[in-house]
Amino acid sequence: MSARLRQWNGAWALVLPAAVVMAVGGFAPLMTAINYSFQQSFSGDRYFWTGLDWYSAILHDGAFWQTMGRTALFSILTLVLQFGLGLFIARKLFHKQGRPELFIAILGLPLLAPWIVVGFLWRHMMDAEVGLLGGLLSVFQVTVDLNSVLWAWVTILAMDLWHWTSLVVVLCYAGYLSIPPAYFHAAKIDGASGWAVFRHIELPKLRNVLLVAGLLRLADSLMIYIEPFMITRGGPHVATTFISQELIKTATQEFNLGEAGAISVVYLLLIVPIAWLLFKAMRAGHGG
Amino acid sequence: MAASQNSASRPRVSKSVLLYSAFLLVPLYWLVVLSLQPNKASKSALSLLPSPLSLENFAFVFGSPDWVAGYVNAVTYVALNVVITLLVALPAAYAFARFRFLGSEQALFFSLLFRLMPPAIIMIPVVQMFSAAGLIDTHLAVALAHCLFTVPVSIWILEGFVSAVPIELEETAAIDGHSPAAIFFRILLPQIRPGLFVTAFFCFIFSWVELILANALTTVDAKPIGVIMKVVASPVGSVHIGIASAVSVLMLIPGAALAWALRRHLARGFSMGRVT
Repeated sequence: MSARLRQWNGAWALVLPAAVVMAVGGFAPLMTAINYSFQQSFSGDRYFWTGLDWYSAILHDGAFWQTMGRTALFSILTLVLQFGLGLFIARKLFHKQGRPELFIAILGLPLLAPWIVVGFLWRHMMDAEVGLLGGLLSVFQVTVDLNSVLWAWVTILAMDLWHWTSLVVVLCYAGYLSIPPAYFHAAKIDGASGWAVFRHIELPKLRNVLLVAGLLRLADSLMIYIEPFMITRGGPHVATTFISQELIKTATQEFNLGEAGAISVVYLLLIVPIAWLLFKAMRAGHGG
Repeated sequence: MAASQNSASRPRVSKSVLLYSAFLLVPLYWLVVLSLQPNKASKSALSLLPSPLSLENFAFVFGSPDWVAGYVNAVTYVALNVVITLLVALPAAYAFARFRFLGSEQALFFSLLFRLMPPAIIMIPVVQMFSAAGLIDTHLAVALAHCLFTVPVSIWILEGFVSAVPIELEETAAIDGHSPAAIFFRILLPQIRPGLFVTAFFCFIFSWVELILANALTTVDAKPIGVIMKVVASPVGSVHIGIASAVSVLMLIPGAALAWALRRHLARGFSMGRVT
């Protein structure tokens, strides 16, 4: 397909409106944030050049790396849980379930729930006395305590599982629909096991859709803010403080635009290689 | 199609899918229960039916002009965002799908990178920029700020849909003497209609639920309901379970309507585009 694409630099004219929106809405603010990272700000309108001071301060700051580590750990755990469950449900939905479009509508519900609603709902659900889950667990002598690190993490992971697994299911289900039925017939005639069908037919065919889902889930899990804030306010202590909350705290409560800028730049430098690898993998899939 | 041929002999019910659906629906059902009973009842005991049944929470929300306006504000900027996003993303997606041009791969990658950028990074500069432009506290400001996140995904989805339409269709139409505009609007656009729905869904998914930028860019006139809701839902303030639940239910309705309306398009739509 891509071999047929015509070389025409005039196509930039078609990209221009989008490019302008992105440049004004994204590139300019990003440059401003990068600019701040080399400066010290006073009273909101006076700036002094400080060079790389913020960077060396951050890179030697154990708390910063712990926040990054927590964010990465959260991302890895949610991705593993959601891709495991999501693939499983998509497979069942495709092979075993009648009226799939009805379930697609149900699956879409949590995706379209405002984040503040999700956070509020899950914090209240875990209330040990009157919460739906917390109250139920109390019956079995299990007391939910959001002031414990373990319960705070379990709650946020369960909440994210509820909130986002559907995205993986919907995308993977779409992937399943695009597999030619002949593949399954051939496998049936050969008497292939369910696992063999999954491993050698479904998984390779779902490669691209899994990459897309992976990219979206990675992006959103790394920038999670409102939901954990609604549940634990980042606590106990800083046990559920992730990078976005750290950024917002630094920029709006401590009014430290320089440090916030430097954190942003370090974060982006870490994410660019991952994005590049995913992008390359996706484009390679397109060519074939 | 494939599914029905594959498992026509078996009963078409999967326990796992039903269980998973229950896992998704029960918390939402409980939220509705909370919204339909007085705050005091919600604070004193766990119940699975509203007892006593009361509409006081909804009466409060609908009786407060600020809250109703907040709801209208959110709907307004989301609609504005969907329109702007489609207008700028469609031509760009067409360009990426049909041509190679200087820096096309790099441009596509950069647009992707913006989707990975936390709104928190650009929050302060975006506020400074919009206040310099005199756009603070307008629906347009929020809609434009959200475009940063909705445009890349939209280009990406639409590129897949346009690529899936055979280029021969356009070439034949051109030979028949149709103008490029006529080809785009009368031939290509009807072909990628499901793609437009899927794209709108993804814009909605971001713009309706996002609050960091929406909060930072609004003060009074364009403040969305989600920000107003913080007063009764945030752990920092005093929580009013009843009102917070009622607002939550109201905020779930547009999403539920959209999911229902698009239930056929969502999965099929993706499988038609080259996203898969």
